[in-house]
Amino acid sequence: MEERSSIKIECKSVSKHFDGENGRVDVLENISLQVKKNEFVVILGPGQCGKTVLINCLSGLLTPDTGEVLVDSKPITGPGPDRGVVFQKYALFPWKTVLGNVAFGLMIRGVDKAKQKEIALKYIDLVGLKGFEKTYPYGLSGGMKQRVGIARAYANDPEVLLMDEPFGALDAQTRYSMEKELVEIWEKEKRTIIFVTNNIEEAIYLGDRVVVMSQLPGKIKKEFVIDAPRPREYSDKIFLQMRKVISEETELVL
Amino acid sequence: MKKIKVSTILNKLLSIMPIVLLIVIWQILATMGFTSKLLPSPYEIYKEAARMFTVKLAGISIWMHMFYSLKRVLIAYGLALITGVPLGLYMGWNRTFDKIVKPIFELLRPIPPIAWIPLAILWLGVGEGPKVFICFVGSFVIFVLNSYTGMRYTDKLLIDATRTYGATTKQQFFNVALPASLPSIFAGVQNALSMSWMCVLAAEMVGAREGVGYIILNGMDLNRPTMIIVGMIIIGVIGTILAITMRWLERGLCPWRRDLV
Amino acid sequence: MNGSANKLERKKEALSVKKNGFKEFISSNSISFFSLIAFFLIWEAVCKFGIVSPYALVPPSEIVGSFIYKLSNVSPDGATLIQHTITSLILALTGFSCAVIVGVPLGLLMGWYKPFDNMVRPLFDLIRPIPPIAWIPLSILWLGIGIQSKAFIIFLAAFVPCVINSYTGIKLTDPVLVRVTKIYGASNWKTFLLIGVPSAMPMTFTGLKLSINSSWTTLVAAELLASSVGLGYLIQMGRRLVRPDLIIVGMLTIGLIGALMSAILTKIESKIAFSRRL
Repeated sequence: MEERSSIKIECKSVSKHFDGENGRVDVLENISLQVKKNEFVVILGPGQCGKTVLINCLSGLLTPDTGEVLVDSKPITGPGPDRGVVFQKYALFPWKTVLGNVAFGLMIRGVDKAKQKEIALKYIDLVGLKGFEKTYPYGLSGGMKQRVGIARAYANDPEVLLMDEPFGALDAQTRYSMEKELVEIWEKEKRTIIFVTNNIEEAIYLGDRVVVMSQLPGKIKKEFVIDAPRPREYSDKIFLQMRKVISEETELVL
Repeated sequence: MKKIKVSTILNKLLSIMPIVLLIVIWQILATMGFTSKLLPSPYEIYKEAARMFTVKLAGISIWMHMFYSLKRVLIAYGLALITGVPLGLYMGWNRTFDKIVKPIFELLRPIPPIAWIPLAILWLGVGEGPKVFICFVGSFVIFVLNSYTGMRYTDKLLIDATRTYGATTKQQFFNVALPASLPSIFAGVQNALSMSWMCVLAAEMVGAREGVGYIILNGMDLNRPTMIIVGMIIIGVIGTILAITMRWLERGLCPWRRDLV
Repeated sequence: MNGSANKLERKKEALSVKKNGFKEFISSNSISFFSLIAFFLIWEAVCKFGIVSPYALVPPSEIVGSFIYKLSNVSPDGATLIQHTITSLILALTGFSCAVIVGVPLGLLMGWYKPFDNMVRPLFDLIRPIPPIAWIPLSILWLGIGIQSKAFIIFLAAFVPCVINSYTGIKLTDPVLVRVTKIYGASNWKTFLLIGVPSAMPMTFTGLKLSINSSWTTLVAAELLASSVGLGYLIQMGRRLVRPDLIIVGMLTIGLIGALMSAILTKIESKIAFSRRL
């Protein structure tokens, strides 16, 4: 079926628990999610609902207790360059310059040096950091660091981009401009994106589809399709509409 | 621009003031006869220094003595570096290896390097051997500990990030874990050097015919406090130079460490 | 009704996690345990099979024997192990305590009052680069080979880390807290006592550990060079009499006591410093 073959990444009945001092904590319960190719899916949930654990399962950094994660209908065996990750805490290598960081994935894969530089420069320009190639991370602001993180993930040409609350540590202004930029980048170079956030406006602004998760143990509460053209404005009608719908249908207090 | 320069020079002068004052008062008291032979005046110390730098002590010049001490320190230090750092790094990286080596290391670690001197002399005689050995033991322990800590406390997030790029374990180790451990290794590099310097002194005082440790011991045997004090000053100066050189090296090799700037 | 059944389930699970945890602890540390045993066995074998001369190394079995013997016998060096240990300990702890009493307040005051710092710091910086061991010959000339000279050197050795660490510790006081206290009308001295000093405690304790380590090491050095009793003297005697077993017994005792003192300090720290963590 045409529908089936266009699913890029999915997870089936994924569950995960952790053993803490106070006993067992069930973090994810029976999560099933399908994401089509080049779809921009946002996972929205309150704090402490297992969103990061879900991203880690999707990326392969964690192995779920039950269920599996499939990319192109094949189960994954661990983290890999086909699933790039952008972390909330940037995870930049402090001893590498911006250029070194962005070219990192390419270096690991053994791409030759000249090509590395060429590709890295292209993506540094794409995220608007031209001129900062030789800067070290400590000389960058939060927003700039995250742009490096995005460029680094993009430069490695992954098929899926997993973004774990990437703008969570930024101030409101920077956050708005980063969201706008991300949409612009995505429109220029389409990828399958799974984006995690706890901010409803961000979710509506960015996503084709918003998947709402519940509190612990994390379950998928409901999915909403955002049918609005981009670029969207925070003042669009759709925001008020979706806000109402989402708060009525879920337990999220907005 | 000129304004800033003047105030920094003034600040530096102000900080030396107490020392200058102390030396002046000391000299005045000495000239007035208030000190005994045991506490020589600054002038006498200066005279002794001039003498020591022109005559031979135990057959060699004072520069040769310094060279002997430095030679021992640097050889031991170099050996400890190339054995201790890889060991510590690997212990921090590989849990099983850590569990095998740890108990033996923890058994020997609390023993101060100086306590090894009698055993070292018993085993290696009275030559360069025991001195280099003691300095080696002292710096080795520090290198292992600091490399281990650096490796163990590497931010797991960075390793996770590397894994998402498909890096093999070997790539993770060399491309991320190692550079991430460098600051800690460097802290160890500095500490190990000062430890090595202290150990060579102790080893030389127990039994040597050359070296700065020998000089101050000789000063004691000859009942010449001036000689001892000059020796102590030399020891302090060399120690400081070593420390400054190390800090300078770190700044050069780790340009991303803004807290060193 | 469902809730209480769930609670019981959870409690059972928690207990099984604890039990499994204990089992895991044993199994994961057994490698270390066996490694240690292997180490001693190899040592024993190397000596027993004559691979090294008995004048250089003695097997662990003999060392245990020597240890037990020395606990109560004064030969061949003139005092029992316990006497040596006590002598060394008393000396080290005395020097250490004096250094703490003088050094910690000094460091704290230097860190808090800039003019005081400007006065004292240059002198301190002059003394600092000279390793305590280098003071031994001068100290012997001034104070002889007795307890006084050793105490002086140990004091110097212990003094420096106390000052440096309490200085650094108090410099790290959160300026926001200081401002708050000043707003409430507290004087500089009061702020120093209520905010500065407690903030400096964690770093000060690190300094205390460094200090006691330094005292202990320097004491051993001093005893090696000029003493007639004490653990440093014991190992020196061991060498003169070509008794590696005595040397090793001494070395292990030195190491053990050193580790114990550090551990005690850590215990004290966890009781005091953390409850006052600002």
